[in-house]
Amino acid sequence: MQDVLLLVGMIVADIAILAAWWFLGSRLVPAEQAPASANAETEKGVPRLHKILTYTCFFLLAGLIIECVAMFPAILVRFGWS
Amino acid sequence: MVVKDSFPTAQAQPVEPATKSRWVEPADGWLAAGVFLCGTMLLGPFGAIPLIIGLVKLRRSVTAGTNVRPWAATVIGAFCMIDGMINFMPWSLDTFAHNTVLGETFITGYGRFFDGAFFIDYNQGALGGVENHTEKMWQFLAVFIVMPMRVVSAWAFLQMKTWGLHFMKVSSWLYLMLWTGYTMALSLDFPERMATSEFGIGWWLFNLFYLSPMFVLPYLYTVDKRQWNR
Repeated sequence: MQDVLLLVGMIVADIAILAAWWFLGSRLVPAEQAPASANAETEKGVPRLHKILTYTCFFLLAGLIIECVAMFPAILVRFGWS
Repeated sequence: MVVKDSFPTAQAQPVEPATKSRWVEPADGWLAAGVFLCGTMLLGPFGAIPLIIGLVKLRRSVTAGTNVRPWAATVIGAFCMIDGMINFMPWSLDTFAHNTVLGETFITGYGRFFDGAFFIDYNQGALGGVENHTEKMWQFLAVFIVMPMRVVSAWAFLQMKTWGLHFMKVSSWLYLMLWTGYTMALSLDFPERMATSEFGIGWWLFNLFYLSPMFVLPYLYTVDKRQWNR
C-alpha cells in the first residue's frame, strides 16, 4: 500500500512538472507569432515589470561590482599568497 | 546588338554603405573595459572605475534622451555580462592554471572564505585544482559551455544584435539548469563545503546572485524584439 501511495505521488508530481512546463512554453511565444489578443494581455503590466526587474538587476550589479573589487584584496589581506 | 555581359557602368557600382559606429552607445567602450577587468576578479579594483564611468555616461545619455539602447537593457546586459565573466574567469583559472601562484592563491582563498571544496585537498585530484568531483563536473560545464556563451550573448545583447537576444534566452535557460544542479550539489555537500568555510552565509550569497535567469528571462520574453535588429 505504501508503494502505491509513493507511485501515485510520483505520477502526480510528474504531471505537475509537465503541466508547469506546458504553461511556461505556451506563454513564451515569440511576439510576431502570438495572437493579437495574447499580446495585448501580456503587455498590460510590462512597463511595471521592466521597472522592477531593472531595479533588481541594478542592485545585483552593484553587489557584483563590490564583490569583484573586494574579493582578491580581502584574500591577500586575510590569507596572503599561497 | 545587345551585349549581355557588358562591364558595369558607374551607376551600377554598389554604393559604399555608411560607416556604422563601432558600438551602439559611445560609452560602451568604458562599459566593456570595466566589465572585463572586474570579471577577472584579480584586477577587480581597477575595473570598477571604468565600469562606473560607463554606467554614469550611459545614464546621462538616457536622461538627455540621446540613447539608442533602453536603460533596462543596459542594466540587465551589464549584470549578465559581469556575472558570466566572474564565473568564467575564476573557474577557468582553476581548470587551466591551478598550479600557478596566482590561481592557487585566489581559488583557495575563495574556498577558505566561502566554499571548502575550493580549498580541501586542492590540487590532489586527477585533473588538478578542485578535488570535489561534483564541483569539477559543473566547472567544465560552466567553463566550456554556459559562461562563455553567457558573456558573448550579453555583449551581443548590449550591441542590440538579433542573435544576442536569442542567445541570451538560450544561455538563461542553460544557466537555470546549472543553478538547479549546483544548488543541489552545494546543499548535499554542505558539511564539507559551506560548513568548513569562514562565512556560513555562503550558500545564501551564492543563491542571491546566481538567480539571474529568474530576473532576466521575464525581461527577455516581454521586451520589444524589433529593437534588436543589428
